[in-house]
Amino acid sequence: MPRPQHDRLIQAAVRCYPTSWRDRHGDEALELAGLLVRDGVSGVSVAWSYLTGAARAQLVVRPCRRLAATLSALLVGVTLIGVPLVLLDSLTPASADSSNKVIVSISNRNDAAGQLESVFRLHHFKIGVEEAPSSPSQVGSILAVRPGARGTGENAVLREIAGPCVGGASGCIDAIALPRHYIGSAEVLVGRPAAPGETYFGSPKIFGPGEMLHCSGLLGKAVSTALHTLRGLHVKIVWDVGGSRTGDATTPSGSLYVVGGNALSATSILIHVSSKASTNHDYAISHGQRC
Amino acid sequence: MAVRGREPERGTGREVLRRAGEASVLILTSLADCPKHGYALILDIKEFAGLQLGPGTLYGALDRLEKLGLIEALPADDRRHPYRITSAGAMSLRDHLDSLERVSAVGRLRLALGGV
Repeated sequence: MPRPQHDRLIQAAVRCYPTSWRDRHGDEALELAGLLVRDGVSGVSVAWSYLTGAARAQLVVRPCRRLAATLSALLVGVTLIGVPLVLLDSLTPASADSSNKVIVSISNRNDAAGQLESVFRLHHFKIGVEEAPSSPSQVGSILAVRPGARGTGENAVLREIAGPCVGGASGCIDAIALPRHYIGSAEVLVGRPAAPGETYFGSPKIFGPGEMLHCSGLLGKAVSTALHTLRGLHVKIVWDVGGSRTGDATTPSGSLYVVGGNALSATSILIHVSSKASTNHDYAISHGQRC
Repeated sequence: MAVRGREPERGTGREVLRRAGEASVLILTSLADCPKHGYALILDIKEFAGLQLGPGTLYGALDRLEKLGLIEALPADDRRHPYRITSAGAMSLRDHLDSLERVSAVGRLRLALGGV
């Protein structure tokens, strides 16, 4: 939804239209503005577009009498809104796929599910959206796309598009591409903030950007060194020693090394330990990012 | 040509659309396959043309096209007013696209781009 100040600006701009226009389009125009802002369009540019549209409409209704009023309204609008010159043109470039595909992308992670649902509905796609608890870095991202059980062969053409995660990691899915006339069914799973203790979908790497132990400096450290910091997190620790898991109470040998980990929930983590402090994938993920 | 009420203006399709502006061509193209309301038009145009049409521009063009008799409003669905292209609108769009095609062919030929 538009922020309150943008909401007021948009309403003010719509009020500049002639009454007859407002009677016909007013409600729809405000609803459209809300949808555009939710899709990531700037509220200011929406207000400006309505303001210039209102100026044109007023000139068409009564060219002479309205001219001064229109110019005044425009001047007030420019002053109030402070729109950069680049916004003067209401036709701005946007990413678009030139092929016969629809790219459905998430621009507002706080309302990812709602955003996807409205676009799927608009295109009459039989695609459901469900939310699942996720780690902080994956909130508002697509966690999984599950093709429908009764596949028609069309399901195979769904394509996931990777984008940045919250916190800067790469590899989160923030868009999917599908044919304009997609007739298959599917379910899209979107990350939402997890409640305390709720298990995360997918158990993401805990040393990745946006996660609890990113840049903690614990990767490659001996368990004896890392233990103090890990205990200080006040979360349940599950140890994975060579594939066998032990509970919090059974601390592995202090001479082993921390080589990776996963976030299980907001209150429990899995730590992989090994006799060698190898530079594995987790190490690369963590150290590839600036701390 | 003066506009009185909602009486459609006359003129050749190409000329009418040329005056109506780029947004009008985009809207007619979007409506060519099925009726759409404002938000659906904006999404569709963004998809096939790569342009984010401002809502003020959209409503201005819709009003203009309706006065010209090139589109017509369908009964409102809740707050949303869907529009559909009229036969005059389809004819105007076809004329306009033919004209653009000719210009495109000449331009490509003169730039030695091929494809004509």
